[in-house]
Amino acid sequence: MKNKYLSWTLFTLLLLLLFVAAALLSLTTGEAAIGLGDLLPVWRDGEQMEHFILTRIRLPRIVLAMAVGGSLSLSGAILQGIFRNPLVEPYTLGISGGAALGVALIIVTGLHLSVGAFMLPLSGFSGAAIVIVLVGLLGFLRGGTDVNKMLLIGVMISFVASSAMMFLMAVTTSENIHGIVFWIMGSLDEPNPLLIKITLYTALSGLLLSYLFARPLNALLLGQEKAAYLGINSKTTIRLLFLLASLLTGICVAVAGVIGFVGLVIPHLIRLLAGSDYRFLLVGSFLGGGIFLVLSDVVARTLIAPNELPIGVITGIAGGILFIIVLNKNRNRRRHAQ
Amino acid sequence: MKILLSFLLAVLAFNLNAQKPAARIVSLAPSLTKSIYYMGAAEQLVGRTSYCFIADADDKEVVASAVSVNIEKVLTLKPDLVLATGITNPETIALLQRAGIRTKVFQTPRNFEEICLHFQELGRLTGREAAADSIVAHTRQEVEQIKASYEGQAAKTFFFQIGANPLFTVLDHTFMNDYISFSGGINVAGGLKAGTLSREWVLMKNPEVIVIVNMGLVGEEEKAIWESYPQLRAVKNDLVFFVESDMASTPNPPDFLKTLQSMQKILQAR
Repeated sequence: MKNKYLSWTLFTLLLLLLFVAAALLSLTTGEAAIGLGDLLPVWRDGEQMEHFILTRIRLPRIVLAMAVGGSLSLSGAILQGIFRNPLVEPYTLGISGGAALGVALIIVTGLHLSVGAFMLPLSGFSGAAIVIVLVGLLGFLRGGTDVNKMLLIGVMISFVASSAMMFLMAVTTSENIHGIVFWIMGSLDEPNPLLIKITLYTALSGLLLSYLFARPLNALLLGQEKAAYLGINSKTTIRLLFLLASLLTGICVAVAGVIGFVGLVIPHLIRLLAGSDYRFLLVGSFLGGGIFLVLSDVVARTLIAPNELPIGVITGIAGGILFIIVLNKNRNRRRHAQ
Repeated sequence: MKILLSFLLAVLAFNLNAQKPAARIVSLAPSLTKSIYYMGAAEQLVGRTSYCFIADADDKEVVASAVSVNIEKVLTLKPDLVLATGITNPETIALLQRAGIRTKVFQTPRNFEEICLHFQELGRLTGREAAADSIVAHTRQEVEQIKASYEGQAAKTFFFQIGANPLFTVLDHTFMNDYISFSGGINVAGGLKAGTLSREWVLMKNPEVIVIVNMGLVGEEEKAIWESYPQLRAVKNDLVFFVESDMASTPNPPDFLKTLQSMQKILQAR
């Protein structure tokens, strides 16, 4: 029997290598022709326009793609473990709905024009936070941890939020509608270095923190009761993990809009390739999500150049197709195992 | 003979009716409301949209938002002319026509010439031909003078930004493109089919002039972002500036002229 720790380490190294490859691809793709060999000289020459493009536009995008892709996939893996439901992803709990509604409100009232553009990510996060509190409070009422109830509440909140957004869009100007829709479709175009730093540090801290729960998550796969027999305090574990996953998601949505499917598909993909053990799944999903988003960003920037597609379009279509393939492979595997 | 006579009378009556200036007008677009005010036909306006700010001071009924028209309200006002644009919902227009109301749709003008023609057409409909023709003639004269003032100079490359998040620009065959060509410029986005661009693309094109349609604080931030790239020719020329949004995006002769003049002031001061 192969040493699973060895294979996990190798797999992690492989993913890191893939990430570096994807990052290099992204750094050398774009309007400004910067080849692999040019990277170092352009980096050193602070005067050229290419240097600015490399350091101010392309590099931040890659960092943000890593942070957002990693956070969303990590969050998806965690939530799929808590809810023991393969269809759960970070947005199922209504977090993206709350964030989108918050942003829509700001755009419609024009506050970002009068107070500052930072109002947009702030309102996005506030909207997400309100939903997190709501779902958390209602789910953890009376000391319970009814995860199914939380799921339903989250889905309902999503519906209410999207109807509320349609109401706003019905009464506002066409420019605002365009702005809202485009924000919702997701974009890694974030010129504010502070926000990128926040997202990166949150992502990395989230990854580290999640490892404190790797074994509890494995135990939870057997169900809350059985996990309790194994000595896991499932109530506290679930609550803390829920908070962690939601915060990660909230920050991602606030900074980059709604980028769907990453949190749903990547954990499943990694499970298919390396098994359901959370001791690897956490870092595997994180890296896998980062790679997926960096590559999706490259496609979004080049498919209809010089026009840019919103990244949510690429992750949605590519992610959806990938998911169907993964699901089919899974079914075939189980049939063969029988 | 009798039949011929009555037929001729009917045709005459119909023509006369069609040519009577409209006395109760409902406008479904802010740009058309503005045009009506400019040609002095404001008294004939009975209905407007909630975004027709020029009519705020007057007692006009609001019949529409940005995207939907309260058709019942329009009908109760008993208008003899409803004005709409290309972005008005065609079903709304069809409904009004079925109700027997004369509706005139003005498609978005694709250049300055069409702006003038639409304005004059509106003048005929409202019975303010004289005012409309005179405004158009005056505007044409001024525009020719402005165009002439750029003659002999090398054409500058322009980037005309009308949106941020996403970055959006002016395309060919839109009247806003004339702001560039009449100011002795060339649009860097000329030939493109869609207006959402990446900042990288604009940076590589290195335009000599960047015009931003003022969008409040977001516009200020966009200007700051452009100015943080010192290699941009527009930044070196100190030609990253704003035009007022309402003025620049409304297709009628006076606003077109004012926009062109505001651009001229900055372009020729440097």
